[in-house]
Amino acid sequence: MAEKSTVYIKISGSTIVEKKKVLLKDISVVQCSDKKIENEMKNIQVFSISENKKNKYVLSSMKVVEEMLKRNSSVDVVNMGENDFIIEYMPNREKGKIFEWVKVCAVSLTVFFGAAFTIMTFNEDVSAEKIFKIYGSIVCDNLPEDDKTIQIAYSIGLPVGILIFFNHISKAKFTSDPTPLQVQLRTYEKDTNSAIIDNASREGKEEDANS
Amino acid sequence: MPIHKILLSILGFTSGILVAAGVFAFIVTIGVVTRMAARTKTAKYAMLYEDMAFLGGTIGNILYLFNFKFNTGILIYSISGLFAGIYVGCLSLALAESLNAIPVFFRRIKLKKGIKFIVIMFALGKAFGSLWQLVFNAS
Repeated sequence: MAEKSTVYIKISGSTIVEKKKVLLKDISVVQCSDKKIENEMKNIQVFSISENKKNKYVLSSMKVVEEMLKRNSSVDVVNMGENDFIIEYMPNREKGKIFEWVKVCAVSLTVFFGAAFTIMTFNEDVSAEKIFKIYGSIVCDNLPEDDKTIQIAYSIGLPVGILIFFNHISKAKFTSDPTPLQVQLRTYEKDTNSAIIDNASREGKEEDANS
Repeated sequence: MPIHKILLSILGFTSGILVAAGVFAFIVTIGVVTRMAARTKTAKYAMLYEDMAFLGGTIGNILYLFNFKFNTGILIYSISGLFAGIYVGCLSLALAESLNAIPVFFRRIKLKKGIKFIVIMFALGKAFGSLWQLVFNAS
């Protein structure tokens, strides 16, 4: 009697697919000591997309296991990845280079003017000019009115501080860590995916095994 | 170089560094740029957006402290106002969201539908309040 083979899969939390037939190898890494079974499993269709437009689907790993057992009922499946995962269907990703450029410009301008506005309102809120006068009177008895030393030093210190915080000048990074905004984007993506998964399972729209 | 200039330079420089850390940590953490980048699916340009924040902050600060007089005309004037307004609008709602005010309120009054309508009302209210304060009632 043949030994039961164990198939290890690691389903990734969120995958973008461009075709309507989703195979197991598109959403997961597959490993098995029996290479014939491994190749067979990699090409199983786990899901087929019905609508033509861009959409997100939430699936349960149990559905994947069900499809695998349908193909070969004598394997053990061990999932080392996510239990609920998202498949995002994005047909024709090619077009829209101009639209993307427009979006990047819009966000860049918003960030640029927004940052300028923020630092100006901050300086106004904390009465930076008054503080500079106070510093002037601490350091020297009769500082001339138009002495701009401290303002110049402040305006040099500000960009230096920003560069230290953001960890890069243009494309050149100082250390190999991701920059703060990249960390924030990853965190936001994780939170959004968890919310999508929870919503779907609560509304009953999760694709699960039939039992 | 006279001693007072050296002291003033050190004070100014160190203040600038720490203010930058505070203000720009705020800009990143409050999530305005994050959501705009994520929603337009342009997250790979994150470093570009950080450069934009860097330029905006530096230039804005210099303009504020040194009172340069520019005559750029009505177009740049209105564009800068428009985009600063977009940013402040996002910021005001991001602040409300970070305090969880809206979710707590909805949970208390057990409101499940109508969130879209409430958000639109929020936006219209802010527009109206801002117009009233800055345009019609300006002192």
